[in-house]
Amino acid sequence: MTETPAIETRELSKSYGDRNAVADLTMRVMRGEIFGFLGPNGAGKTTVVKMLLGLVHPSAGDAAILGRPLGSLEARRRIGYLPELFRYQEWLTAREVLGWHAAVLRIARERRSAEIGGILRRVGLEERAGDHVGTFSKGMQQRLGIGVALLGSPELIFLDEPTSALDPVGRADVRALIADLKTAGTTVFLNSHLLSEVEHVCDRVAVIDSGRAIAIGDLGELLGRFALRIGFERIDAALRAELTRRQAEFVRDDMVLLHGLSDGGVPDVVAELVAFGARITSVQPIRSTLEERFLEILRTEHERTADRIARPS
Amino acid sequence: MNALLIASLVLREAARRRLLLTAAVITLALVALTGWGFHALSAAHDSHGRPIPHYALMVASSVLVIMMAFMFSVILSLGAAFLGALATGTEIENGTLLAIVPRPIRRIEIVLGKWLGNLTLIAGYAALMTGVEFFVVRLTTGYVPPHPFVAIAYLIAQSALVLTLTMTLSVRLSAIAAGFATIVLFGIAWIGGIAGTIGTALQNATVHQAALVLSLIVPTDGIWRGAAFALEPAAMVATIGSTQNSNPFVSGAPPTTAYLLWCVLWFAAVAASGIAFFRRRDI
Repeated sequence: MTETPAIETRELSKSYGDRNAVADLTMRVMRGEIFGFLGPNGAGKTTVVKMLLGLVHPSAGDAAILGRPLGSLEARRRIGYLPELFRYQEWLTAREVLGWHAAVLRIARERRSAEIGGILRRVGLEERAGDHVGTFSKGMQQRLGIGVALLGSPELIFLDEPTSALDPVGRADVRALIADLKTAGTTVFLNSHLLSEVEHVCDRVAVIDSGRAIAIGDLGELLGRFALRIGFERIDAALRAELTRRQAEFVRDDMVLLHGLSDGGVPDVVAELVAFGARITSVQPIRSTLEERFLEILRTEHERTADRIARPS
Repeated sequence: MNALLIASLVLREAARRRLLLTAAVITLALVALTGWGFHALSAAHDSHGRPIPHYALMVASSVLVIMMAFMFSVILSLGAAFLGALATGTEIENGTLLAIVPRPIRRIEIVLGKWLGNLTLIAGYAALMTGVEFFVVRLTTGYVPPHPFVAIAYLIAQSALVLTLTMTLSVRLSAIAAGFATIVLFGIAWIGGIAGTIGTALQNATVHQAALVLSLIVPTDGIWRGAAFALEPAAMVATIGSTQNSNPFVSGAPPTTAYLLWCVLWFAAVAASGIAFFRRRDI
């Protein structure tokens, strides 16, 4: 029997009047995946998250969370969520906020204290546990929000811009936390503007623009082809012929780009060229960054849209 | 169970934000001031330097108690409108509910919990404030209103109606608009009540009917009249009956059973609308 996806949406849509915030979104997030959800401001990312969490009602389409329909209390018991605009009761202490959420999650009283203590340590708030949330910096409140999302060891965690208020140390902590969650088999739905962050931690990503998913796939696939930049002492005629046979792109008299390789193929190519007699001075793997690919995908989509408008069928 | 968890948050917020402390201090000051006033009344003398007769002291005390109850009714209703507007409206606006709604908790439980928490605050305050005030009046003048507990129950019921209406409106409107709308409706109902007694006194059917319709649309003043009636000594009721007195502080008769049933229906309809609005509301 195949495992049900952590998240499955079918033509999920949300309209506000004439404006489509989300249109026909169909996607699957498998269990244990770290899934990045990307898009420019106003693309509809947070609306999708809110629909999946039952905060916003879809206008059309359907979705299932952990195999259960949207709004299911059973599914919500196994979900953690850090909102983009996080705000907790400022007149409670951090420990009380976690305690209240633990009570709602029906975490057994005898386990509560230990679990809350563990989470406070994990998000670096152990020493401020007894302080009122109102005295916390924005970053500390975000750490608390991450702690709230982790309560009850959820199977699926939605993190909406989890590092927006954090300093570099905090960001590194969140990356480490996500890596730990992956090891534990927790599914993470990461909504972030920080593409380097997504690139570091995600297995698969979806790019959404104007409410539509314009690319969904494995991070490696999305990043596109891998290239190898190789520098030589000298490229003689024989080597030139060999490199041409390998469809190299000559970028300088002593340098080429080899396309169509995989990461694993690099040692073999280098060994073959050395065996051929080439004297190699440098080898540099080149891959487009997620940011470059993201901008390229958006640009292509906008050109397609402009083309459709200019030439209606 | 979840509703009680939400209600506990409301009560803790009231304590932590010093609402309870502020209310206690102001109420103590009010009770002390009125206690001094009633004591001065009991020690008053007439123009011949003789202590005022007992029956005159009782009449004056009964009138003052009703006027104080009216003041409590306004304070409680304004307080209920204020708390009701903050209950859901503000939390939707400031995003606090974003962390609560996705939890395994039904939306009806959130509304019910907020309502229960706020009603507990208002009912507790109403019972304590009026109870202490009645006790102080008894201590200083010896006067005890005929049905103090019934009066307190009516005051709490009136606050519950205001709280429910504001909470319902705050799901559709902004918190400030909901609070303002409720206070305006409360004021209109109050004026409607006065107009009704004037219409009755003048035997003007149109004014009487208009006031009746208004008391059905917003039944807060009708409920206040129940509280006033519960505080009126029999002699005062007889006088009102004979003079068709048209003022907001007295009532010639208690609300009818039909009217009370209507109030229950009104409450159920407004509460059900609020729950339905909140269930459909995007957050």
